[in-house]
Amino acid sequence: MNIAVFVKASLNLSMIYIDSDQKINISRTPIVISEYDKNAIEEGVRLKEKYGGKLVVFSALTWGPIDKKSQDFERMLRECLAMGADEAHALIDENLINISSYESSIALAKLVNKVGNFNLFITGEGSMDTSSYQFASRLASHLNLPVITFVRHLEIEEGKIIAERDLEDEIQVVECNMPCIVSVTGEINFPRTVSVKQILQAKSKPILRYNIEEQIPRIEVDFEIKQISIKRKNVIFEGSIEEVARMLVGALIKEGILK
Amino acid sequence: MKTVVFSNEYKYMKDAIGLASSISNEIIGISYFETKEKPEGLDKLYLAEKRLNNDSWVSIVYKICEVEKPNYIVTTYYKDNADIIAQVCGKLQIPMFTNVINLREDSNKFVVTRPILGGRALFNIKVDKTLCLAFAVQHNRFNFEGLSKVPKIIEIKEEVETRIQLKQRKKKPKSKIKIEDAEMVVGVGRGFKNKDDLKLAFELAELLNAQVGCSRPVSADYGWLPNDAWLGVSSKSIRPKLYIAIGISGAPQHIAGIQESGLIVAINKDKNAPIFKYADYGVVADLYQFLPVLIKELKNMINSSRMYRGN
Repeated sequence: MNIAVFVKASLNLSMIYIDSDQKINISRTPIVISEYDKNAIEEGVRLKEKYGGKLVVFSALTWGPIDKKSQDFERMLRECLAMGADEAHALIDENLINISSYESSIALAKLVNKVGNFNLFITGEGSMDTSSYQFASRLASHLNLPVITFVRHLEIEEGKIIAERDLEDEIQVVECNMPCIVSVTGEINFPRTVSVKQILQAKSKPILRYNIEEQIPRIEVDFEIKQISIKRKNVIFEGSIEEVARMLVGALIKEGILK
Repeated sequence: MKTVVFSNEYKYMKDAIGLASSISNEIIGISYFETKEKPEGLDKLYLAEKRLNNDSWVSIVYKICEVEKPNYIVTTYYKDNADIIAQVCGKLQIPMFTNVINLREDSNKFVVTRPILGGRALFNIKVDKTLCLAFAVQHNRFNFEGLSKVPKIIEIKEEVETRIQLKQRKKKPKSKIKIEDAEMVVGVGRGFKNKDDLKLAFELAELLNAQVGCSRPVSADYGWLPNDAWLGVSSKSIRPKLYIAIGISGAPQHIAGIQESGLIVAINKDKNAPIFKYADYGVVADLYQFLPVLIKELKNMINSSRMYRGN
């Protein structure tokens, strides 16, 4: 069984660089594998271990500038390979910087078709930076395949995917013939951690880099990303537990919360 | 301008109609009535006779869009709605903006605002408004008022093939009051050692007339509280008057779900816990020692105010 996994090089949420005007400085913020895409790789590795076949990683570098991001991007792909993927195919192109899943799903669908045939396509439910929750659904349209989104448990029986979807109000169990696309939630598994040594060992596995060959449609947008900052009082009460409790109740009364 | 609004259940349609009515004069609905509804604010409503899965909805919505040729498509942001409309947008090759909390017009552009980076930042996107665009709007952000138009109903009768079979639906356990609507919320985290100990938080919540929410591990990993109590970026976002975080360290994902609270109180034994940076009032103490004292103090206060009022 051949599996394709899609990972996003997301802005690293714990290393966001903020300029003095509260704007996020993308150029100075490092990138890292998006949280739930790690679950996608893990699920792919587990299925590969069980059923055999090839596990291929796809990604597009969408944050720039390319020269500042390419090292992190490479490390992310190596991490996926160290986790158990066999090869990585990556789009690195000036025309893909600052794109959304509208464009990346088209570009990656074209790349997948070029690389080979797959029985299953896995990706995370959404990226941790832009959280648009569209990639899997859009990819399904471009590859003309069915998609099962928000999967928290997955089984394969006689060429069929049986998946548990985790929705707001209910859990759904659905069934679908392969090939198909699934997007997975953080609950589906615990991604393995890989050591620096394992990442180095994965050096022998191939990473193939591509430019985009044909122009893809692109929506022109201007954008800015600004930090949400709500001023807080940051008062820490000090004293004995009894005193602190009294101070807290007093503060809640003064704020008009308790009457 | 013509907008197609969609929700796989009509009860979630209101927010989508709210945005649609501010950017268009003709609104075409596509939906299904899970319970009996009185549709309003639409010129026309394509109505499914039965519950459909996402795969079937995609073909139906796509076909209707080909006939209606809307300028915009709007849905209310829920997982299924976003999935369905994203697939339709893929087929139509148009962009969609997810989890939109504000939209304004700026000459020939729309300025679309949505939270990103785990809710810590706002993404302001300027896009040409003459393009065909889709929006998935966040619940409770767009008002729906004064739209008494009663739509003409067109039944969707055609049988659509589906590639995905629904085998089972299990309702998730639900609290009676939606935590998003609560004025006071008490949040519990990993500082609690056992499920049983949560009764301290529940006792406090009862005194404050608050709902109890939690951080991710308490619901997703330990299963101590149902999913709909989980506060955070991949679950519920709240905006109560008061939020008290107890034994919650303040992971960015959690902060994103609670940062719009009016007043934030943090109780944590680790004085370096990030939650204190986001709090108005902080108590550095072991919750097992502090909560019983706080509860007693609140009870005293309530009793004395009763006496004062002569009850």
